[in-house]
Amino acid sequence: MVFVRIVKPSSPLSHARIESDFIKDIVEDVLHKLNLRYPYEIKGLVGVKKNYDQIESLLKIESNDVGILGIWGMGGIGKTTLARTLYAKFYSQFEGRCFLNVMDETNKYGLNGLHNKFFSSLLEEENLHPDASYIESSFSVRRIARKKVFIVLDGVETLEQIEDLILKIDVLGPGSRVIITTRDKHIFSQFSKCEIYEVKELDKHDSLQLFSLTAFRENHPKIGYEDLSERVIAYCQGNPLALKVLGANLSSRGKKEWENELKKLQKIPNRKIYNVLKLSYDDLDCSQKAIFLDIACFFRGESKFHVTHMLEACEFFAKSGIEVLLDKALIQLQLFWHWQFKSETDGLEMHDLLQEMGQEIVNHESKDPGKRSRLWKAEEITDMLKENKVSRGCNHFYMKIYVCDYKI
Amino acid sequence: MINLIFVCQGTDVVEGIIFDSTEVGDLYLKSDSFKRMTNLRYLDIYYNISNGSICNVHLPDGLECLSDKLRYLQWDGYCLESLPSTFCAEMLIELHMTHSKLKKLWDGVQVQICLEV
Repeated sequence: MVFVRIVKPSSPLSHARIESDFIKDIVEDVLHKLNLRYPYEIKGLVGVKKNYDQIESLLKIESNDVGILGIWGMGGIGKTTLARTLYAKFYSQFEGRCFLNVMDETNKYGLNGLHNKFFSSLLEEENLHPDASYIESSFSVRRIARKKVFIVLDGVETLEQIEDLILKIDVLGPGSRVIITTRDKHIFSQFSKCEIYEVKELDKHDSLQLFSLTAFRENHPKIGYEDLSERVIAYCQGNPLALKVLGANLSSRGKKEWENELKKLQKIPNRKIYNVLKLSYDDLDCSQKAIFLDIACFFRGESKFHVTHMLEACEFFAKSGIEVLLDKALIQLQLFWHWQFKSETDGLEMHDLLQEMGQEIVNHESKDPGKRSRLWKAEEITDMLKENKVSRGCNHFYMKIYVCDYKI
Repeated sequence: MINLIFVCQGTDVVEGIIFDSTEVGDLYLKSDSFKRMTNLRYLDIYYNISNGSICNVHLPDGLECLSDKLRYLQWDGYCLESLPSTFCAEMLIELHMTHSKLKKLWDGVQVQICLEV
């Protein structure tokens, strides 16, 4: 009302925004500032503390130099969790920040999309649609150079993915921090000054606790299940992801079924984590398997609402199927900002290792991409469609004869 | 006389394709490229619109068929003016055809469907 009274109708300001909009902006701003000051605590994360304390000291948060911290270890060991925890605790002390899932962003939007997101988040510009054009000018690089920024490049697979971004690291403002997580230690050889931390697996005590929390929702195994639990966790090699997935799979099942699962575990060659995880997939029914594979190949990070709608139409009983996958810890929900709806919405997230497992299962369907159920690699699709390409004018053409498959 | 058969590698096993055409060079498809993929339910062809590129998937002879089982069809920069007349969109729930030359969806008559565009 104050604004309305002061401004005369003829004044250009009378066309300005209404009071409620101002109030909304003020509330948003205050919330944002409060959010930044709210201290972050590690809660409900078993065994993270030990790794975390060591890693925090490596970050040397007080130092005014630009610091790079490399976190490496096997898939599912908790690199992302550690990076997220550090980010959540310290990001408020920085002027610019971004957390990028490099593998996922590159797969979806290519290197261009990754760069767009890098710049738009650091410069806090509302250019969040990954397809939107972003001109990486020397001006924006100079703007970043004046800021103290906190960057997390999570899940880096190859050096090419971050090569261009690394060039910018040299010019970051004083006190900036960059965290890179990867399964490949060689990535770090490119950096002259880089602290490297190898994430340790959980010890037996923490393994048992994490497993019990998912299997029994308690800190310790249920009475009568102590021995079975210990035998199961031996297959997880202190890998938190494996512990959670196995725990969720065995949750609320009887002793006979546990014995059954153990028999399957015993048959796994080399005790590979991948195969431990695959047991959970094997236990799914047909449509649940299809949903899992669709998410791994097409829908990771998409809105739950949208994917459910889409998969319901495919007659996969998606509503219940997605709940089963959530219960089995094969997927998680993660809130994300939906650029189209302009609001936060539940997204379907999946661990990198589980996504790879899903894609691997599809790749194993056949050596020939044309005989696989799902295709997502551009080169393979091109090859498949090219086979069908006929050169015009019949100057040359080729013939393929599949003796067993087709009649000629 | 030998009858030559050009074998399209895509078979009825293929259920879904997501294709980022930015990553490859120009691709000229024959009109029956999708003919044998009769169980295709998800087709998403996209490219990076932001850097001014145009879609490099071409259909010089038109497009004959698309799977009737398609639930989702996205084809950014689709270069024809209509979808195949034989395409029955009874199961389609989403259609995204941005930056395409599409003027009408079909030639001929279609069964009414519940489509969200």
